[in-house]
Amino acid sequence: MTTKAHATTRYIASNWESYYPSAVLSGIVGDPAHQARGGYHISIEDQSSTNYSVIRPDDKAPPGKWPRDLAAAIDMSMNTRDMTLCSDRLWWVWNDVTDPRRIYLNAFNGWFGSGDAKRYDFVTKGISITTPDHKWHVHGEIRRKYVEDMVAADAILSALRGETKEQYLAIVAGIGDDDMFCKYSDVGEKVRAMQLQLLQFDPACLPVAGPDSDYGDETASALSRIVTGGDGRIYGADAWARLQQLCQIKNGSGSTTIDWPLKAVINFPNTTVTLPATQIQVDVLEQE
Amino acid sequence: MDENLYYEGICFGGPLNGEIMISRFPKGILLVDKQGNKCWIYDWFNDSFTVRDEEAMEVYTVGEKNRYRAAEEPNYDVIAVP
Repeated sequence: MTTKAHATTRYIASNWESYYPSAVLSGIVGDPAHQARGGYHISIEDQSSTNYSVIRPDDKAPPGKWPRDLAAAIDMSMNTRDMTLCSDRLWWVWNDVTDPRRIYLNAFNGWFGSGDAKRYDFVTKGISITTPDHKWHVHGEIRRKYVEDMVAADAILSALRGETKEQYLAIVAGIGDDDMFCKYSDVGEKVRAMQLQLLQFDPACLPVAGPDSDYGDETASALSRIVTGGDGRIYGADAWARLQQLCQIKNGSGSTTIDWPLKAVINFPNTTVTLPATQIQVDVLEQE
Repeated sequence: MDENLYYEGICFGGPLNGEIMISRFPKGILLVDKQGNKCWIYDWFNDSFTVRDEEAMEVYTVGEKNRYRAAEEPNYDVIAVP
């Protein structure tokens, strides 16, 4: 067995522990029994090529060029209060299809203090009942493509700290330390954050380069078409605010209202949440 | 996780006395109170978990017997005090 835990995954685990008073790391690399059934605790090369954890586009390698010998999941055990808080923080990211942090996560298994533990899939936005050991630990899966990526790690940690999407974007964009978020020919995290948000609005808007952190012609064209008009070569505060608005409008369309069963536990003033009705699925799966 | 890979049973002694718990590993549970810097070992035996010592042990994060090592090994499930 050759599955290893990468330093980036350990970095996430170490910081995750520090955010919750009761949190103790329960595992990253799966044991031999885990290897037999596969999953994100097991490397690509240590399991079947048809396992659910190695077949999605952001997991499959080849053709992906990411490592084949790394685990891509963290189990964090916590008391009921922290399980509820952590599950809730991840749920908000899972629920908002415009949140750029969700692109790094495949799924999490969590519990809100009553009822069944559940699995929340970021790719399909489905919900399924999972095994009861997840009442003692949150299981978080990183898309294998990003298992070494520190930008992804910091995005996941932002979610675990309970930062809102807007807070995360502001941090990534460096609000307050610059009079312009980014501009044509820039390269770096500010550009990548903007590209990810554009992709959340239109998954086909960067067909050639994708979120490559490089503000080139394709990014300028997409920004112009979706947000700013003109040449799209400046992404400033107005464009940022407009993009947030567009994503919110998109996220709110065609939705229905369901009761959020744990409103009393998490004590949010708004006692219902909206989810796209066609994307809610509750069934029983035996995963993780 | 397949249910046949669970080790589920009642706990005897320590903070989990009387609780039904699940371990994913065959030797039992390492119960950790991080804030109190205490831990207890529950050994899996006769379809139940029995605390090895009622008196809590100190939790180590470095050295030969530390909780991170336990989390990496396939023996005890590391679980936070509920």
